[in-house]
Amino acid sequence: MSRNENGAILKIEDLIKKFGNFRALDGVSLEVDKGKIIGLAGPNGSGKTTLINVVSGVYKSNDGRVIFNGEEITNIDSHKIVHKGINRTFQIPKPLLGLTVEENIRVAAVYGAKDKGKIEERIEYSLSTIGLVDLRFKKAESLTSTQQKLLDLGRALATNPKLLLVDEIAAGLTQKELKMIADMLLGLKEKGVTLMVVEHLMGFLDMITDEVVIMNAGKEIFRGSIREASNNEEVIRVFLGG
Amino acid sequence: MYRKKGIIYGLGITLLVIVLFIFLPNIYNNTSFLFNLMLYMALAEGLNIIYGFTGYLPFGYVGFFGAGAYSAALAILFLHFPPLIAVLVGGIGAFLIGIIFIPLLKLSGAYFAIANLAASQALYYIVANPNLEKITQGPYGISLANIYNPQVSYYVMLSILAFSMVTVIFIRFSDYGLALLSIKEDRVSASLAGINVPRERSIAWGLSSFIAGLSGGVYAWYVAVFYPTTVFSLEISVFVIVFVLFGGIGTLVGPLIGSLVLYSFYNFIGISTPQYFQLSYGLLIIIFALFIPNGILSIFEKRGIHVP
Ligand SMILES: Nc1ncnc2c1ncn2[C@@H]1O[C@H](COP(=O)(O)OP(=O)(O)OP(=O)(O)O)[C@@H](O)[C@H]1O
Ligand SMILES: [Mg+2]
Repeated sequence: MSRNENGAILKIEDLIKKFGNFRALDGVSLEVDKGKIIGLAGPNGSGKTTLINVVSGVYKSNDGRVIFNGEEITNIDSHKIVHKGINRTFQIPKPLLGLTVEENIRVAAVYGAKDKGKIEERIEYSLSTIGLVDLRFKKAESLTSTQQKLLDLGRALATNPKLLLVDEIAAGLTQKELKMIADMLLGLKEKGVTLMVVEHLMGFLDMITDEVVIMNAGKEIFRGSIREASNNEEVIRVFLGG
Repeated sequence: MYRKKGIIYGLGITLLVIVLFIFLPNIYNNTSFLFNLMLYMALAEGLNIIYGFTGYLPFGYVGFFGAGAYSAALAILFLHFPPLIAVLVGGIGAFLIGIIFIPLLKLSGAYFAIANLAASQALYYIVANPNLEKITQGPYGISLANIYNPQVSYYVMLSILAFSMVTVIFIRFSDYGLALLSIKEDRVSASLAGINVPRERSIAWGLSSFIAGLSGGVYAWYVAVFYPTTVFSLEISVFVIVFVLFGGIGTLVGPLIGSLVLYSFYNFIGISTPQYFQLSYGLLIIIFALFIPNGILSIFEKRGIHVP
């Protein structure tokens, strides 16, 4: 069976991102298939977050291309990328701290979606998906770090994303919370959202997907099933290691 | 619900302010104090739009005021515009200066404040340059004696104050206000909420400069004689910032209360010893910015009392 039965929603081609002379992304190429969840793992500093930052327009790349749904979106502004249907969460959550939970989501529902209809519905949907309905009038700054990560996710959902880039949402969670988030991400996939999930915990990735990409030093070094990854020599050496 | 209520309260307060300033001259004959109070209130609301909602502290805010005063004066002297239209020209003049200054918004924090201050000083030096005497009268100041009309200009000032209040009400209780607050909180997160950060903050900046320009225009009309040093005085920026910080940023009534309390204080005690006031207001800026960044109204908000 071909990987691309639905086609790639996101294509990353030879992307380079330099910080000074250091190449955080060193010509990485990868594809994300429509309607699936793909895991992205790799050692600390391998460029996973940087990749998300470049795709979401937070950083500008030095070279290479990002293609979304057949359209080149390399280095365009974040808000335009959001309008095209890509959103993300942050490894270190970045909600609008002085605003309430509902305001965080409202502003994204109003400004983030191309389709201006059904704003109230989208707010309620996001709030209930992330399970923060009861905290809607609380300031984001009063939330726990886990709740803030969920709020990041809710802000992203309110913009109606077709592709969601999730950066280490599972770090520091209890087993029960992990299961809950895994179910939530699977639920989004059921609704037709494509996801790229960056995660260190292979056990968590195993709950939501079979397919992973492993990065090292700003490049893709492996793509395949989690099972194959755990038997791959290079992956073991740089990432799973001993 | 909360928003509708806020708009209604806000408009009620605006009406109250209008009525008060219409009646006050009957019982209190120092109209120049009343005019200046309205002027500071309008400037405080104008600065509130950019500082209170987007977090950019414009130390050079007076530049827009001065640009407004000179644009209006030149429209009267050279184009023979009627004063009312000239006031509008003052607003537009400052707005255009605002557009020229838009790149400053790329800076953040203290860098923006300093660059904006420098920009307003540059405006001052251009206007006060003796080589431009044929146009701006250079340092020798402007005289509009033949259109002097403190009565009508008083009511025009009141209208500008009302306009500034209504603008703030609609920002505070709208999605647009929420977008501005998002920009203030975190520009990256705001853009990932889909907000076009450069555009939205430029609109706020434009509104803010327009209000300062209108105020400068009507000030020129009201006093009829003024100098570059008067309308580009850094003291005006400092006062307006203190008033807004003191009362409470991001609200409608905060800038009004701040202006009322501190400008009255200055006027009744401080005018004979202005140097002490500059010192103490400078200190107030530091104290409020550091310890009570949301002004005295935030003390109410903390107790769950919402202030429009
Ligand atoms: N803004 C920045 N300025 C300079 N260097 C940066 C910046 N952001 C990332 N880097 C560097 O780029 C490299 C890749 O960082 P990145 O955050 O993408 O790694 P990561 O794979 O997400 O790691 P982790 O698993 O720790 O989150 C690191 O060496 C990091 O220090
Ligand atoms: Mg990372």
